[in-house]
Amino acid sequence: MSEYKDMNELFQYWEENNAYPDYVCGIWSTNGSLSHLTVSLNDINAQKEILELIEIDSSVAFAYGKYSKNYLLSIIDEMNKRFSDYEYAQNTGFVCMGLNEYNNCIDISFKIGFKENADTIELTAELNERFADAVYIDYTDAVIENTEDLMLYPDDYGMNTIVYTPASKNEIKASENDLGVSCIILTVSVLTLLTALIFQTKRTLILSNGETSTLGHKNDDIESILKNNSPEPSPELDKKIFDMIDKL
Amino acid sequence: MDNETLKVYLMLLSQGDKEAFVKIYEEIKKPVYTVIFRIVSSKEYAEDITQEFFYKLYKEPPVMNIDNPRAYFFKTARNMAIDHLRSIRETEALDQDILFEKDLALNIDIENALLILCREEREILTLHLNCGLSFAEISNITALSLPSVYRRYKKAIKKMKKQLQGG
Repeated sequence: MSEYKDMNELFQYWEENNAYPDYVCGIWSTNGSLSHLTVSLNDINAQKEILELIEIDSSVAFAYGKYSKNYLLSIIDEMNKRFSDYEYAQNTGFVCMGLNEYNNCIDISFKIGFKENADTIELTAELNERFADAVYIDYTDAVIENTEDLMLYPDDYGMNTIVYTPASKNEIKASENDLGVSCIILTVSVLTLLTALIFQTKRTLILSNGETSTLGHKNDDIESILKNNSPEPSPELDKKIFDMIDKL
Repeated sequence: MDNETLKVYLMLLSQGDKEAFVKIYEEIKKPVYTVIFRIVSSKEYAEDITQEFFYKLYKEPPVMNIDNPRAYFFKTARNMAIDHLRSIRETEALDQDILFEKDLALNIDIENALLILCREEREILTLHLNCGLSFAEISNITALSLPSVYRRYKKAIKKMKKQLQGG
């Protein structure tokens, strides 16, 4: 007799107890409901372990992932602490952050005007160096809607999916999906996140306070002074230059 | 004036259009002089090099298609200033009398304060704030990595803040 009726029950156990095995990379709804979930794994052998835990094998499909959910959550925990510093969040133009289970990464968005900001560049360089493709950075001027703790944002990720099902455990199928299916799967991913919130996941999404100030840099006054003051050449320089070229 | 407009004027200049030269001159004279001045730290030398820069630009305008004229101009100006520094002894580069003869008090404070920075820091500050180049463009010009550029920029700003605010 299996310990859990279906994948949803096992998922709820993992979520309530924050007990994701390290081979789990992400979980999302396959069909728009909780009756069929896709679990991405970084270890193909873990399929067998999961199927042994649940009664209804047909309640789960598997996909490949690279980073464990635990690892991605640890990144979120660290970034939570850093962005809790309001001044730091403002200075870097931070907008929102979220766990993207389908794409197996953390999405972090900054305001579009901060692409050349020194603090933002420093932070994004650090994130790229430390976390590589576990973190996806983008710049946005999209309207962010606030639904409790969940931030919704535009997404146009690509759609190559490697899926292996219980019926074909030794076979890896690759499929390309069109944009319509992409939107459906994105929607169910978001729904899955909403469901996870019911179990009071530790995963929190930090909000900016919604201010639209364009200046967040604490060194504004110094930069402004330097920008607006520059050395002046002597008035004769213009004449010297144009006299010289007139002779050519 | 954006890069696309500068490209057009450069093309006209390469065909001998003096009016195009005047437009380019009016647009970049001040930042070119600033870049040069902050590298050589001498008004006299800065004016000589600026004169040489524009003379060469008029006499031998670039013939190849330049994607980013602004970055090209400031890179050229910077290189000319650095070449000059290599050709003279360091002690000749700072001449306080010539430096501040006719400057206003604020400019004296700022240019004085900038002297506490190393040359690279002054360059990066100037290229970003006075010449309007992005950190990526500065990275290309100076051959420093992008993270190095912003780190030095940030360090320079902190030093300047401390210096100008009397810290």
